Amino acid sequence: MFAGSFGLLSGLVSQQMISREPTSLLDDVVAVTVPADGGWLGILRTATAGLAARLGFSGEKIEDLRIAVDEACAMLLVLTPPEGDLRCRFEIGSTELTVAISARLRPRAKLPDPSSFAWRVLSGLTSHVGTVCEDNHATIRLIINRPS
Amino acid sequence: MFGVEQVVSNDRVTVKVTGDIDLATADKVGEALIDALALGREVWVDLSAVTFLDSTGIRALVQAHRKADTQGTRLYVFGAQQWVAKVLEVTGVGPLLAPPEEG
Repeated sequence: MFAGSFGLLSGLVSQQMISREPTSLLDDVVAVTVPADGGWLGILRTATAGLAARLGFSGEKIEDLRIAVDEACAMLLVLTPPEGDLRCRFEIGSTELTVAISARLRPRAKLPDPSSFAWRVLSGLTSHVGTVCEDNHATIRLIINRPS
Repeated sequence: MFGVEQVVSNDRVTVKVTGDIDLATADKVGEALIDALALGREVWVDLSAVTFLDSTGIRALVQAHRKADTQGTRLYVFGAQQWVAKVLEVTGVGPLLAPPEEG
């Protein structure tokens, strides 16, 4: 019982750290949360492309970002419990766009191997990808330079 | 709109996929390819009307390609446009799935 409560508490703490740490208060943030179901991926891809277009990204960069966000979301979606949520947070900094995609995972679920097709696509299309996996909560963070 | 269409000719089965291949549709592509392979002919997958492809789609194509190998037949992919072709390239599966050069 005690161990269970402790697990929940540490989960909450780590979530707060994930959302707060890299963002200054001056940044603009767009957050989209959808049910953790593959049927919503098309919506997230469209949102990503729309936002990137508004930020002045070139056609090629928009497409790269659209695929990268889809890939990161798909990676988490196969590991989420039913009825879960998928959170996609776009942090618009002055020089960079950071996309943080996060979800609660099933117990003992693990992100795929770096040699997987998913990682090959992600690392082939983005310059910086990082992952944070704490307790049952995983975040994939993509950082893309904004057009100058 | 996503769709899969199968055309059987004498020497091959052409499977034409339309729309986005992602986590929501990759299984349908995989099933269609397994069905096509069951006819015992070469399977040619037409990606010319595919508007999006990610690694879940790549996995479906590669699994079907392996199944073709074990059955002693072939599975080729053709017609990929722009970023669909790019995803085939960055995952390194383009050459594996490419049809043989003509002539």
